[in-house]
Amino acid sequence: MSFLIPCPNCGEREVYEFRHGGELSPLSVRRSMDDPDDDLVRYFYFTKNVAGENDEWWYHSYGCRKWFIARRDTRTNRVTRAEWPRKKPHQ
Amino acid sequence: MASIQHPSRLDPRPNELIDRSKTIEFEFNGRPIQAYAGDTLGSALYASGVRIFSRSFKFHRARGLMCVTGNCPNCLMTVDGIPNIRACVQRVEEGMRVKGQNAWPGLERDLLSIIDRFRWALPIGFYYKGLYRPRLLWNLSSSIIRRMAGLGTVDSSAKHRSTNLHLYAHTGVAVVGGGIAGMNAALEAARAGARVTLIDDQPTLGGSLHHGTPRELQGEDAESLVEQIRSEKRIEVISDATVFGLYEGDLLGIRARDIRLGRLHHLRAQEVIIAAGTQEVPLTFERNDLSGVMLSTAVRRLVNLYGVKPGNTALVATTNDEAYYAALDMLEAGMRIAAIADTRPEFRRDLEPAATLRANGVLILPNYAIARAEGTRIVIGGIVAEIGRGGEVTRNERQFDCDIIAMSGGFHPSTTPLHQVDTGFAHSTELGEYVPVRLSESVQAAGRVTGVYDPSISALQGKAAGLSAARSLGSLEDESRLSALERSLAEETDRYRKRVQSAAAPIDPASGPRQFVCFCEDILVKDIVRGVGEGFEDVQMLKRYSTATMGPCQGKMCHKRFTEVLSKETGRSLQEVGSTTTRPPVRPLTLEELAGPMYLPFKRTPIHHRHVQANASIVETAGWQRPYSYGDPQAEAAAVRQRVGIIDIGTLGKLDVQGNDAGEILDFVYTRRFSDMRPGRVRYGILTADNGTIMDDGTVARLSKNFYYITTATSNVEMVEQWFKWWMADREMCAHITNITSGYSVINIAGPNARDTLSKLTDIDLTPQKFRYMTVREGDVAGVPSMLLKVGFVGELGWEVHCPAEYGEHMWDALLEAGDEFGISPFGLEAQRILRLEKMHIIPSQDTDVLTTPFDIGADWAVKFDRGEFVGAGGLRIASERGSRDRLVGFVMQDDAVPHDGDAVVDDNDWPIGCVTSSRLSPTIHKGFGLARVPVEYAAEGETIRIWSKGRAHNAAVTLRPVYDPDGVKMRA
Repeated sequence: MSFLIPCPNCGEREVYEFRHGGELSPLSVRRSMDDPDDDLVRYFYFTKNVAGENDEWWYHSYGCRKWFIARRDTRTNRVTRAEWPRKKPHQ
Repeated sequence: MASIQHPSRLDPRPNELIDRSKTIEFEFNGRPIQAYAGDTLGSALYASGVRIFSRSFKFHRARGLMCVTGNCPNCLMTVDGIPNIRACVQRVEEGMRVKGQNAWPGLERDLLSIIDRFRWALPIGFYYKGLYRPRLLWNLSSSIIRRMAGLGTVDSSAKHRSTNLHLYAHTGVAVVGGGIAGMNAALEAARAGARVTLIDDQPTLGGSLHHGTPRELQGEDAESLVEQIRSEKRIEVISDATVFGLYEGDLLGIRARDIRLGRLHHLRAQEVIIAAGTQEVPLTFERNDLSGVMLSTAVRRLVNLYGVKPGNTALVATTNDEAYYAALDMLEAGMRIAAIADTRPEFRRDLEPAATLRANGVLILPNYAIARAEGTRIVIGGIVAEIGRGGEVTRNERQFDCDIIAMSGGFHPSTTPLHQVDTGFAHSTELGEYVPVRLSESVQAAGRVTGVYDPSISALQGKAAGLSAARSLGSLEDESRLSALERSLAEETDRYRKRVQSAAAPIDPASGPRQFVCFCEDILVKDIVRGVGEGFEDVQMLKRYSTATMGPCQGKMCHKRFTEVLSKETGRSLQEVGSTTTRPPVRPLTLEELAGPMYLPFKRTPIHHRHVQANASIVETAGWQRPYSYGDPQAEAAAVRQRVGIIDIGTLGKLDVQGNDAGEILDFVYTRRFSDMRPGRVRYGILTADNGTIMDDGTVARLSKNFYYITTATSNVEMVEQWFKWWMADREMCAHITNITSGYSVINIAGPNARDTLSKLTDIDLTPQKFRYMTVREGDVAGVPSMLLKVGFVGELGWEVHCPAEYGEHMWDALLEAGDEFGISPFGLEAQRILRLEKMHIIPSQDTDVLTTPFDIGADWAVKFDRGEFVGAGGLRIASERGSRDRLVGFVMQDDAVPHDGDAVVDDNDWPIGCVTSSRLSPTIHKGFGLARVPVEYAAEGETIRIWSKGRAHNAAVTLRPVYDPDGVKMRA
């Protein structure tokens, strides 16, 4: 694994500077209290696991320490887009 | 000028790499050998008369130099304790200790070569066929085989060399290979404005131009190209370095060859041009592995680069033009050419060296192939035979005495880096090679690696590749030059395809049982034939079954012949047979080189030197160096209980949270609320993951309306910071989280005399009515603006003094001085662990694991469901409804045993049912005690559990209350 990720704050950096936060699933599930059994099971075990372009959480842990969302092709590791969540950087 | 008496050294050659004014001495198998600066081990040894360089993998046959490019396995030696060094490319350094390997007692007389007599007993796949039953035989034979077969032995006593630097760099265009194509590519790309890195595996640029003669240049002058590159500022040259891999995202792994001062470059390129050239490959004939059988380019390298005379009389066997140049070189070096056997049917009238050779009276035999070499270890002669109509070797033979057989079986393009980026390959019948046909976007191939062996085309290919790389980078302004180049390249290539003559070497399994295909693993032609006969007709299957192409050369020497034998035996074309895939590394690397230098970073608190001065024993926890004890942990703990003590807890994770939504984010990630807390108050909080399990715990102090100060466990602060930010990013909340761990020094002062000590240093009212438990005040302490948190981790009256890191030592000194009259003493990590354990205060991840919920540690009070949504709510609700399976409980030993952390809790049958998470000797009750995770049915006051410690079970009583001050009166005092 060796590819570059364009951090919206710092620019292109080595993937080893980042932490992968998994695919962009609706986080609301993770705090749900309505039907915790069902929602949690879906959250933990039923990820989309796309073979292709997928939106993912990434954290620039050895850089600006900000979370952002990157669009990565899971087959080629090519990152085509990286942006702040809801386009508002205020972490 | 120092001169060495080398029997095989020639007079100085124009392009030689050696410096005859400097001599170096090294040791080979215990005897001193002299060499010139610039010599390789191979050239120096050959010049001094050494002919046997290694013993083969399986049969222990004597092997000599064959490729002189560092590709074949014939010269693997152990240098300074490092096995499998390629002697033919390893430059000599003063004092090197070089040893032959895989031989006993020595290379010249290897008793293990008796195996060669039993080749019949070791057919292809013999280990699958005969040695697996009975089981005992397998164990016995595998241990014997492992000892007798193989490569060098790792010297486990060798010292770690920490000089392996790793360098990281970026470039616009990376050009792999410094030959005609590579140099032209680099120049064109740089002139078009791109930043270029040129990587070459020789000490000087030029590629085959060096060991070649000016005749081959056809208008391109190597010296001038090198000069132009040197003066071009945009080109960086990495010489004497191998590109061992081309990885995802066009990352090149590069290793400089010097084994003593290794350097590994991680070079990220935007565009890559592979101009790595080709490797000449051997012919297959009987005894083609004798010492003295060499590739024609190997001969040229020895003669032209190192001024070494390979022998006296040479027999030349070839399928192409290359060997004629070698013959010419040998002639000029004063050798006799016995004959040249060329498999092509007609004499190459238009080939200049052929005409020159014939004019010099050299016998040239078109339509002849070499059938056998004569000799047992070293060549004494060779037999060539006419090729029949069906391409077979006939009985029309001629014998020649010789001590060198220079062979050329064609070329294997150095495509390994291309394989690694998923390039498609197809066999071209015109060119007679596997050529790259489908390249990835940012990778190009130029020069001989494309299967076209013409210097002027290589130059054109290089120029075109360089310009088109510059175009991809957007720096090419004028495209007309590129299109003109591409046009003339297309024309030239077309002409080349029409005139090229490639003749496959005849493969005749009948001409002898010792025709080696794979020199690395001793695979013979008959082995491949047999493998095909057994049904392994697929190239990948046959590769795995025979292990051909899987040795140290990774197929560079054998792939061509291997696929040809397979093609012949199965009657399929080479196109249908296909090729195997080569993978990184191109050349072997040591793990040490990959690992790089050993850096062990650690962190120290601002007060660290005071602990060292006090002779504290230092331990490393979570990357920090901390004082474990100042001598006697039990005494330090007793001092805290009876008088007053201070401990440096600057390692605590510290987060500063400010902003309009600061309270909201805390409420959201913790299991309880903080926004309802008045400024000046402190609360304990537990952080849980999505599923409700404990991640961390710590205190949250509210300093003002929108300003919170959080402490976390030492090892968790990074994780907590990430966690907060993640949820804030998701929820679009407005707050700033800053990790200020290293900004503050923290000292915990605790004990009955803590108030008396501290009040000497500050005006802050410390009386219990004014400064209550779990509150925070800001003010000057010892003249330093500080924060005081009244919390009780060790269970005594005490404060955490947080002050700017710069004043850490000052604060420490001031507290010790002020406490002197009250018997103050510093205490270390161990004493703190004992004290907190007596209070049943947990340490997350010591006393919890990834499945522990707050309910399992009895912290139900810290989870509040009666509020909005929060992280882990779902998981916590499930956990609370299902109830705990295990509980964390206190225990007190009923005998005088003190269990270790991690000892098992066992049932009546001594089966483990739980685990001791922390255990110490209590200075208060003078017994072993601690925390244990046990099934919930044991979690009742007074219940007896059995703890397995030091080989037997001991009884312990369960307690749900701390052994010290169970009502927490003291810390509230």
